Amino acid sequence: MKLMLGLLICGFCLFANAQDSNAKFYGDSKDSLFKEASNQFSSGKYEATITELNNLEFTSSMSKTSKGLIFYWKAICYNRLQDFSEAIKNFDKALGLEYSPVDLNYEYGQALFAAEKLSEARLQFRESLKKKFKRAVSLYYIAYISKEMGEKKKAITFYQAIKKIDASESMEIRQAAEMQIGDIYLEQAEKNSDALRTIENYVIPQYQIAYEVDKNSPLAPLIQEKILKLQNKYDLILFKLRNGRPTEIPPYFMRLALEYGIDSNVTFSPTQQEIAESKKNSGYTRTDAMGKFTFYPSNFISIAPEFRFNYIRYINRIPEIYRNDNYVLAPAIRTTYEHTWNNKAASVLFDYDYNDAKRDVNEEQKLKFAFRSHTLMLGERFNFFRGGDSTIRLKRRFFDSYLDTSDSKTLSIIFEQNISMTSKTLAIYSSYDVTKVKSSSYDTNGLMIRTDLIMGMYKDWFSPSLGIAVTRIDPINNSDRGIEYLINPSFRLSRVIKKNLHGNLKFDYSRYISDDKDNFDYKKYISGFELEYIF
Amino acid sequence: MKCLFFIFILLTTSLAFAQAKNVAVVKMLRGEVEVMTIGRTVKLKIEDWIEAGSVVKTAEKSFVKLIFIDKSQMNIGPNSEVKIEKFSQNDPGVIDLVKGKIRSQVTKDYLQMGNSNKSKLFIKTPNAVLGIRGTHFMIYTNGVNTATVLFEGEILFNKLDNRFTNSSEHLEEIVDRGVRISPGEFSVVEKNSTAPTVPSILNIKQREALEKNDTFDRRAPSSSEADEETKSVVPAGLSGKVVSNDSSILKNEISQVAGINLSSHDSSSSQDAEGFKEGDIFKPANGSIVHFESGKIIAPGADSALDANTNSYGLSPSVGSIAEDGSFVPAGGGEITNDGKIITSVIGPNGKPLVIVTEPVAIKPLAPANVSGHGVPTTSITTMTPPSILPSSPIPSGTAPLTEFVQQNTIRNRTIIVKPPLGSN
Repeated sequence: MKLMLGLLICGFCLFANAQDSNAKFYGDSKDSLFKEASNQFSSGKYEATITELNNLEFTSSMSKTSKGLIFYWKAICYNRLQDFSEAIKNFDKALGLEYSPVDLNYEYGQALFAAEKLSEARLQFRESLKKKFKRAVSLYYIAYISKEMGEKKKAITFYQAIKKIDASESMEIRQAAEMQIGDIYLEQAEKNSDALRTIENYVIPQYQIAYEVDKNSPLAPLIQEKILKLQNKYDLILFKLRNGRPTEIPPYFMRLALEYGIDSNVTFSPTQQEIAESKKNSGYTRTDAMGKFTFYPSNFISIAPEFRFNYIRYINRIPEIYRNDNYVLAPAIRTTYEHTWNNKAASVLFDYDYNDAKRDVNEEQKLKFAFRSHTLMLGERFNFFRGGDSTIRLKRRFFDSYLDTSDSKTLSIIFEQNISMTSKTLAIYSSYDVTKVKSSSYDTNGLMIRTDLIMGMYKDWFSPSLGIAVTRIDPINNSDRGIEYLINPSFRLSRVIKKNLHGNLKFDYSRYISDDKDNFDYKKYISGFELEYIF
Repeated sequence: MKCLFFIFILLTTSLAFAQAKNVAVVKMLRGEVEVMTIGRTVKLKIEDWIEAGSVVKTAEKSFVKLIFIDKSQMNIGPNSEVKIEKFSQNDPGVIDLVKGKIRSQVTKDYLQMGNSNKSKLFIKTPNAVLGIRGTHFMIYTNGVNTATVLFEGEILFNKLDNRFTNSSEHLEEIVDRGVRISPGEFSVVEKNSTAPTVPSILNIKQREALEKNDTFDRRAPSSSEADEETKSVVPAGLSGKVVSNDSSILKNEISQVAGINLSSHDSSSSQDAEGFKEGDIFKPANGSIVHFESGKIIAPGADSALDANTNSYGLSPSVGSIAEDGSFVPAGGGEITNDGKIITSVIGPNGKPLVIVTEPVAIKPLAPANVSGHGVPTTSITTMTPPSILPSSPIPSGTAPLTEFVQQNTIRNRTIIVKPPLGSN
């Protein structure tokens, strides 16, 4: 029995000793494997690191944390070797062991991104963001993936969120994000038939914002290249003047329009001091040609000679109608002096307009001199309101009529304001005119307010625009007429028929209210269709 | 008797002389390998001895492993021609690599001879010279360009103008003026260059693959392998540096869990990961690939990610990949020729196949990638409604303003404003 007990104790001791040395062996082996893996990793030998970690994986007495580390470590090695499928497997295993260091989701997200598992990648970058690891880049990945998944709105939201992150972390990323927003706008714009307007007003300015973030970054030339490419593609090369205003591109502008329409009540007003309504309707044809070329002798001056020709012929050939046949020749010269005001671009405007009109004033089916006018204008265009440019003009017009008594001089003060909204533009025009006529009974003071709402392309089919003008006329020396009003709403639909060829459908209603019902009061509507070609 | 004794003396002396001229023995051989000694060419077999002054030539897909008298080993790759100009246990040896590839592991015994700051072996090529201070490296020349990569130890590398010099002192002078290469780095001397490239870290994947492929028997990429393409982790617009994770968290985890502190990569000459070119001085980006057959350097690509642990860039999938034998496989199913031109077949606009020949880009582009390899799903794009995304910000001050009465016209697809009817101004 004693012998048995002795053998038992002996055996137990030997077993315990063996276990101990086994554990010591594995412990030593584990440490040396970890050491070897670390050495290999430090020298960038990732395949060798993985081999060592694989050996470690199969050693016993490995804690859950150690195993988690091995999978995470292997996954990072696979990421560096660009073996993303293996990286994903190992990140999964690490997460399965609830081992999740702060950068794991980021690295895992990158592997999923490279493996084109985009929605899963986005989830990992969200986790990374929650852990505040590489916040700006994580946001960029989320935005970029959203864009690739077609969720453009979401993409823009995330790109914009990068701005809120501390600049030191996000400057390069912010610039790239602004560029990406520009790319999204461009993708969208190029699907519209009215691409150019969107590119000019949104895409290029967005790329400019991106460029301004850091003009000296490696990305800046790429952004500039994008802008230049678009400007070339859409004839938008903007040579800026000294205050930053772009020059007209191309410098010339030519337009030819042919219109056919119906005037419900053809009115005769060759002197603009009298109105004689025919109370008859007639069709009409109208031809309008215009040409303009802008020169830039320096980077602060522009000179633009302009010429217009307009001819109207009525279809109804009765005297009170055909006496309205007329043509107008109108050369002009427009100049600007560019400067800055309130640190923003501004221009001094100086224009001269000459009009020479002929009309069948004697009802002889012959066009004869009706009037000529010289107009001088001095103005200032500036940027005061956030919505767009404002313009103030002072205008002096000398009107020479075929009737001496109707010769007149007009002084006008004009204010214009443009307000740009999402794919719409609102233009407000107001003027106060003081007209002194040779025959002083025709003297008037007039106040006019007009607003136009120009809308973008509706369902890629047409662009509508609405306008309304209200004019208050005070015939200061003729109390019989009382205070007169001209109310003039208009509506227009435009559609691109072919490149440079447009079709415009117009409707215009006029109501002139006067106490002098016989000579001034009238109403009429004009509807017409115009074909317009732009060279 | 005297005669017999004389003959014996003569034989033993000549044998001793012959033995003294033998410098290396063939330990492994594949394919056809010849040795030319004093105008006599014989096919080599295992255990054959090679004398100093011999020229060893390997045929295509052939290879020979030589063990030198100092136990150093030299593996000569396929299509190579190597002249062992001089080799002894006491003085630096001189090997002339006329063309082809050498992998060498120089023994520490050999390296311990004499001054540790002097080269123990020189390998010359038609335009470069390598001074070996230890221990494991590869050198390749096509007779025009020479490229070398170091796996372990230290080597010095420089351009060689006179390949016929075999004076150790002169060669030492030349390599001393050259570049010092650290493990994992490569350098190239091109035909028209005045100096070797500044050492840069070789692409980590290529380095590991080459290091394993010491007998040149790893298989070249199959066509299916070449087609296996991954995407870059770098999204368009960002640089590989900004998306890089510096592995500090991993190192911290290793320290906490395994109790080991990892050192960082400290190759001072490779600090500038982006690389540069200033006059004749060219430093390729860390992580560049070397096409050894041509000596051409291939930059990692604009959308490659920086590995902060090694301070080198990974190879962008848009550039290509590394095969199991360490060779470069161009992206898009292209092939690289022995003179370093990339040939890609594409379908032309008329539906006919076109062959495009391009030169690899050696300098890493500074700008981040513009387009990533990720495709944009077209289906989702069509669901967008334009006005919902465009901002509500005003037209910037730089755009043309509206003037006077407004009539909207679309001119060259842009909005312009036409003046009011004539006669009203």
